[in-house]
Amino acid sequence: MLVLTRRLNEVIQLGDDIQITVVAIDADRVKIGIDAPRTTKIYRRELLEDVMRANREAAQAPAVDLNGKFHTETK
Amino acid sequence: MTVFTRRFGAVQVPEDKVISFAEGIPGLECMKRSFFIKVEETLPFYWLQSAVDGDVALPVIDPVLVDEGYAPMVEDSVFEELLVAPGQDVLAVVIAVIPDDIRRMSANMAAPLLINLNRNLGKQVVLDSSDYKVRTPIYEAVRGRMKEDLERAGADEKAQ
Repeated sequence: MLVLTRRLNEVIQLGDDIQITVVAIDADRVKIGIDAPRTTKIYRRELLEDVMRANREAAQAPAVDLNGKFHTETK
Repeated sequence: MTVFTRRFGAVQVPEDKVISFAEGIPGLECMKRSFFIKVEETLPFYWLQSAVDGDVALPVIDPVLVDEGYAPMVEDSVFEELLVAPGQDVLAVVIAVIPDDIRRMSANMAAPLLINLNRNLGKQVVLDSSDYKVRTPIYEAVRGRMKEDLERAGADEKAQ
């Protein structure tokens, strides 16, 4: 991981298209502004991880006794 | 094509019903190509079955059943990615987690699947807002509509 120290209002540039600005600094949090092309996906990491976890859990749904007792059709 | 699924046995699906999720679904690469299966007994849940891995199917549900006013803000760029023409409809479903204790079932209202049925393109959109939760409890919302088998499973749990 590349670690840079920035002061308030300073900017980090990623590649040609992305700028990251320190917008505000508090005792326990940093407000970060991101300029990026619309197609760049930007997530709070913990939210993305929670979504991944929930997706994987969804695949574990119980069988609900479907054997031979249903009519399957594609929607 | 025929997909040999763990839950539903061998399923015939026409190619034009297979939906492509260009980026897969986070955590589940195999959902890059998947299709809907309707099972009467498990309504109002439908199943999104992977065409790539027969073992993997996700229960999904109409988010409006959970929250009548569900109308999340979605960036225009998402509709562009899905090649949605102006005025065209997009299908939105949410992925449900159904644990063994079905009263704890939940749906991910914070990251709906948006699907352009005209082009068979889909995407899981992680919403920006904190208005919606990844694990929104849904048992109360759906229990009145669940088919008998699921209802009975719920009743058995309570009797223990």
